[in-house]
Amino acid sequence: MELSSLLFIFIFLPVFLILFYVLPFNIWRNSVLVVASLVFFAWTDLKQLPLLIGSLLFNYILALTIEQYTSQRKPANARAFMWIAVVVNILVLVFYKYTGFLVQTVADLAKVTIEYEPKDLPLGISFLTFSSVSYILDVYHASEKAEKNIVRFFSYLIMFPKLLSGPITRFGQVKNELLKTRPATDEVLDGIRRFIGGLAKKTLLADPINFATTKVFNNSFDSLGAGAAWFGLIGYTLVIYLDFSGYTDMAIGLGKMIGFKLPENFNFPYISRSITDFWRRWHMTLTAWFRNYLFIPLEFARKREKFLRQQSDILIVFLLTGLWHGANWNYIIWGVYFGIILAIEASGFGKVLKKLPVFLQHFYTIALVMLSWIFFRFTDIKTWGPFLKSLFGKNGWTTDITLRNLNVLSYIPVFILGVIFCLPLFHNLEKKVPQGGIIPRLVLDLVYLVLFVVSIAYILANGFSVFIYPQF
Amino acid sequence: MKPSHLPSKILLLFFAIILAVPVFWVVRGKVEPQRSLIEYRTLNVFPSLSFKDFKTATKRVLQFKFQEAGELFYDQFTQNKFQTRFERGVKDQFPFRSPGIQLSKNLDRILIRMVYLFLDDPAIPADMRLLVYETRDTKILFPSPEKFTTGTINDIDTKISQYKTLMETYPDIHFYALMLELVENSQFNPVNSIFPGADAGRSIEYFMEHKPDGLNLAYLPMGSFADYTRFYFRTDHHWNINGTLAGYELTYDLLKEYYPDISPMIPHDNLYTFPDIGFLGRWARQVFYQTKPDPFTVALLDLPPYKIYNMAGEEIEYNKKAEYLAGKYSTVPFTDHYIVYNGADVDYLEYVSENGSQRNLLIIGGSYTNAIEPILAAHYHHTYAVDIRHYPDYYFSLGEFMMEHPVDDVLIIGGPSVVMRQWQWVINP
Repeated sequence: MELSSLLFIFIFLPVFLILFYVLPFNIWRNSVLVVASLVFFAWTDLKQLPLLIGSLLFNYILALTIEQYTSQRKPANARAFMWIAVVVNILVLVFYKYTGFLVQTVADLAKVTIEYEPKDLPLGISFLTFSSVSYILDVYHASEKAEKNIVRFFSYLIMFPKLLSGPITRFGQVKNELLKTRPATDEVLDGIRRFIGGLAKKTLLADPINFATTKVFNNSFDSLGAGAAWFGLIGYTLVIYLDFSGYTDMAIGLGKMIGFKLPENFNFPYISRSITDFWRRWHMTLTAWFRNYLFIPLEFARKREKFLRQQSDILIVFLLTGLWHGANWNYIIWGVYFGIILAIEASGFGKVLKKLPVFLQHFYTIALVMLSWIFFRFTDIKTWGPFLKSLFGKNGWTTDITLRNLNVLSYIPVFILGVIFCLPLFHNLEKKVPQGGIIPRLVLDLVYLVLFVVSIAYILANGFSVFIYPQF
Repeated sequence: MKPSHLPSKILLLFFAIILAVPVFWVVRGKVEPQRSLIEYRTLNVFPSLSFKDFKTATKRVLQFKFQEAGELFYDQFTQNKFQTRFERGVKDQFPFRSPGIQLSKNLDRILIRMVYLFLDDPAIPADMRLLVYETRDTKILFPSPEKFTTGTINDIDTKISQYKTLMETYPDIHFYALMLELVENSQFNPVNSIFPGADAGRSIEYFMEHKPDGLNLAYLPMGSFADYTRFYFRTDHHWNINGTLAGYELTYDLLKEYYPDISPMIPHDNLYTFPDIGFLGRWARQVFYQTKPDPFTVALLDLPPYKIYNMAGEEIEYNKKAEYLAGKYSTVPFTDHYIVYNGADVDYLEYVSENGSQRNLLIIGGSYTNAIEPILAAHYHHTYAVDIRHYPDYYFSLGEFMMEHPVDDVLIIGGPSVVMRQWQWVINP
């Protein structure tokens, strides 16, 4: 089930919220959250429901086991179970997500044909695996206590707002809220604003821009002019952010409506002044996960090595970040590309960069990020060359394929709005509204309601389209 | 409630809105599938579940007969069929669905006009997604041009060779064609200039130059884009009554050459315009655009008595002409009056006319023929109308057809796609 579908907004959500708000006890509300999340998952992926429940039970039991051994001062046993839990979680992910890729790679290297039936990727498996592993490691390191209440544990791992695309949440970030009473009205209202904002970002900006961009990319790059190619690339740069941050806004908004403060995932990444800055602002919960559970342990484990240690650790982390996004070479190259840039910035270039004029810092960052989206968007590596050539004018500024005859010229105002919403302008304006008194708040809330109605109108007209990130 | 808190509470209307929709569905109860005049399809309803099947399937599960249980009840969930049907039901049964779609389309058109304000294109898109255009001044809706490629030439050559084979196989039959110049192939399409590979009349020109000698061809050309509204509806691809009657006159002259004792031309100057119909056709419907409509005018003809039969040989009421003339018709915007009045596309129709003629005519074509069939049928004893698109696998053989229905004349009517191009319109010998 998609958060931007009519089914979710007009059936699932009202039914869930009524039950959630009416029930008097916390444990009942958490139970409703668990059941609703299972229904949410099963609606799209019923066949994988046993796997999901099995995985939850496995992590629940192993975390308790690890804690028990830790409290009994049996660290070797605790470590053994920690490894079992981590390896099994990762193996499940590898089995579903990477087997096909591995088989294909082996077949290509050996120049043989291997018959392989691709597996259906269980919904949100990448996000669930990372949350599970973080929980296991936090319990092992005794930074969190294992949750004994199975309902609360299930609520944490599979709560539907973050089930498909995160934010990847650590147990410590929500454990207190699992014990809380109903959310305050102001919190709920904030949640509604955030939810509507995300929905509008998705349906009124990301989807139309994606439609226009796809129309451009559907043409042969050998006959695409630079104008159309840049239109497509700028479009995709906007889409990937607006779509994913729209989803995150909806997830955080839903969380607030039921009293959870889910972590932020974006902090206006396109205003970054370096790639290092970009990765502090883009998909922040994933970056944090890799930093906490891979980069820092790697740095610690290799602390005696001096030569290019940090650089090589960055490279490892970003190779895996790329691989996390998908089982394909383009994602690996995308990750390595960022790894190399980050390693260079960490080697002193970052300091040089800071001395440059601010606009050059922005230009440097956005240019490299946009280039990276080419690697990310086109899974077929063979298309990169022709696209880059068209981008830099090999076919001229314009060809027979024009924005006019693709009928995408009218999307330019949407692109401009998209750019505005990539900047913190509206965000800063909204923060000032409460200080402005009743009227600005009223006006802004009315704007939210209008946005909601218009978003629904667009879903009715064009159907809802799936979010981009759950596929990763 | 403190006054300072009042404004923020307005957002609680969000809950009212999301609750109102399911409440509406519950209060309204079960509905039967309804045909949408606007979208020309049957709207989905919420799927129902059989409790009896569920009980039986659960019993089968307990008996370890999983496959049987799945087929009876559970597979629809594991294969997501139920979920898909349910989501379609949610969308189609959504309250205020049409106004919602209309709102989004109108907002789209505001964006389009904003962007094209700075350009001097003679026509602008009427939709953000589809390639339907409207002229800036006259608000006529029309499609983008078709492309003229080497594939087009190959298609035409194939069609020409098919005609030659047909004529060689059936030398005693007269083959006629009435080709309409449609805007997508016309040199007068106002947006030809922005589509570098546009047909712009080239395919028709090529066909005219290479057409087989034995094919008697009449052609209804556009002298200019102004002719578009003379012969066609402003918002629909079909010909209006002027186009239909012009087509009739051209065809009559064509047929007369090899059918000298054809009955006199049917007088067709008595026209009637339905006072309360504003016709918004296919293009308007596709882009959900309540632009300036057309009047809906029909010819009141004095035809010899005739009956219409379907493929099973049953006499049928094919069209709604009598009901329209009795004042019974829909005034809902986007109703396809051309199709409802003249009759919908079907695989086969047989007109049997009591006019003393001994000749039989086979008309091959799509919906353009629906309006002209009865008039042409007035000059023949049996007139067969075949729409090959509705035949299984688009297979139609003239030889097989004639074993049951002997014909003297074969007339192909339609745009370039029917007369000289598309593979769906192959007439096998």
